[in-house]
Amino acid sequence: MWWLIIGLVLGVAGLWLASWARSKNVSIKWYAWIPIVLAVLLFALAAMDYSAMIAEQEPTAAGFVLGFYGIPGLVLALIAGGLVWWQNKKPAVAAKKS
Amino acid sequence: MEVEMAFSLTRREFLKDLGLLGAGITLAPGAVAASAATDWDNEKTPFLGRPSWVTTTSAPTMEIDWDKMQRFSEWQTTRGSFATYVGAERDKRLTALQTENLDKWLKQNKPGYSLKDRALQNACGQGAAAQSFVPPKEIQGPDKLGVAPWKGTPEEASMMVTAALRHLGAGTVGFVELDPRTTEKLIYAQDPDKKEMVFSDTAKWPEENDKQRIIPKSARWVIVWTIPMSQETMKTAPTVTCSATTGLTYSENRNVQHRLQYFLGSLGYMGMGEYSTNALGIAPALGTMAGLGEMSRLNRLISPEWGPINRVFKMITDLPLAPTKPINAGIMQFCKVCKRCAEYCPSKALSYDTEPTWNTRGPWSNPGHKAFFEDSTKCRAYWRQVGTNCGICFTVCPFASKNMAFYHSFRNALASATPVFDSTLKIMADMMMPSAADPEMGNPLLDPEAWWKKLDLPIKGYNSARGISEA
Repeated sequence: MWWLIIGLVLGVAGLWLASWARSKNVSIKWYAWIPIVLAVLLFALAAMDYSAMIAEQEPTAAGFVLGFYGIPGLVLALIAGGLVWWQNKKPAVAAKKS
Repeated sequence: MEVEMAFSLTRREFLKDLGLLGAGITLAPGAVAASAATDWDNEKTPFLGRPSWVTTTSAPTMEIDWDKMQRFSEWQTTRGSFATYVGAERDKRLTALQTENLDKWLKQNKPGYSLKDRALQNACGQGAAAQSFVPPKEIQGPDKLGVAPWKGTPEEASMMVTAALRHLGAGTVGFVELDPRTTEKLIYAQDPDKKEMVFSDTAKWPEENDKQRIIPKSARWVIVWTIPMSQETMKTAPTVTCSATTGLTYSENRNVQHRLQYFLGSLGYMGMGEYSTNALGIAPALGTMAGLGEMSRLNRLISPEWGPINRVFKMITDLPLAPTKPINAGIMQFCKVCKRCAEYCPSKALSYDTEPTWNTRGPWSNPGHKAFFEDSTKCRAYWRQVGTNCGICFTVCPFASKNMAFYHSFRNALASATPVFDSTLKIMADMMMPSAADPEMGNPLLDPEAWWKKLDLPIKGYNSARGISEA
């Protein structure tokens, strides 16, 4: 059930991201997808291990893994966001110059 | 004409994305299931699935000099000879202190020592079958049913016994063939009651008299099995609540042993059991030879399935069995770097050495193998002070984790694959288990009062599916 919910959330989020990018004419280059995918994997790992360690009755370890996977995931998500912003900002700057 | 959908999607694009979403939802649990399936390799251990990171080896990860090793007498351990090693006067003082502390803490209603803790400890020791070396006489063999004893290949016999033992309550199961030059030396020379354990060429059936227990030479196989314990009660070490962990497991095994004797007897074979707890043979050594786990800094067996949170039991039989091989899961290698158990041992009984040694630290250990020998007298003296047994070293071991999280499987696989990351994994364990018992005071990892409020623990406190379907 847990994985079904995570799959649904990821699917809906992916659909929303693709739709949003299309509607706003935002292009996402292939190399920006790498940190996006890695960030999603790390967030999924954080959620999975957090719940597993809570089930293991290890709350300290659960909090630790949340940061252990979650912080790098967050950093990668920020990098991905920055890349997308930079890619889509450049043409605007070029247009302004011309 | 294309119909516009939400987010400015065409119908074609919407259906395409919906298909991708469906595929994602389907593949996510599939990937998890596939990872669980590939995590096991039944070829390496034909009788019971083990994690994929466990490899079988021709020799255990603990070095053994079989020429130097001699059969050991159980009564030489501190279980039987504590007073001899520490002196009668100190033994008497420690016994008095134990009685005084238990009485005082009961009246103070101290967590872990209160009446309900004592009641649980008392209850855990009850309801167990009588233990006997000789199979019970009441067993009706196949001759009573008018059929011949069971026949099959050793492999079939090993599979059959494994299935039966799992049903009877064992965790993992392995088999050792007795060889006078090697493994036979792991059967005690004398049992805890100082009765001599004799292998006889002439005896057809196990016998017991005032001085001896006689093992027929036709019985060449040892069945070795683990019974997992509750990690959560173990975490309350060193208190009476913790002793309910080991107490229950020993009681459970009395039933398992009794029933296994009946199972073997009903097939037409003999099963020679422990006449009392820790009798018959050296449990961790036989467990190591059977591949149930590896020896460790604890100088006890650590299994890939439950870490140190299990106990090892054994029975000698004349049913021909296919032996299982020793394993290497990187456990002994990891212990060389880790040392958490030694750091947190309140009595400082465990070795801090980086490498195992041939030199024992006292006559309570059997020479002839390279190990992290402990000062068993310090450990036992501490048990008397706290009034009960301990087990802090078991609970602070990184391998004592319940292995539900991906991190634990990853750590186990990494430790098995290479020792390069062992020190990093130790640091990780320190960060993930910072609430470990105070090394000076020996405080429990888990407040015994908190345990009494954990009402959602598995039956008997452990996941019995581990070792079969989970890493």
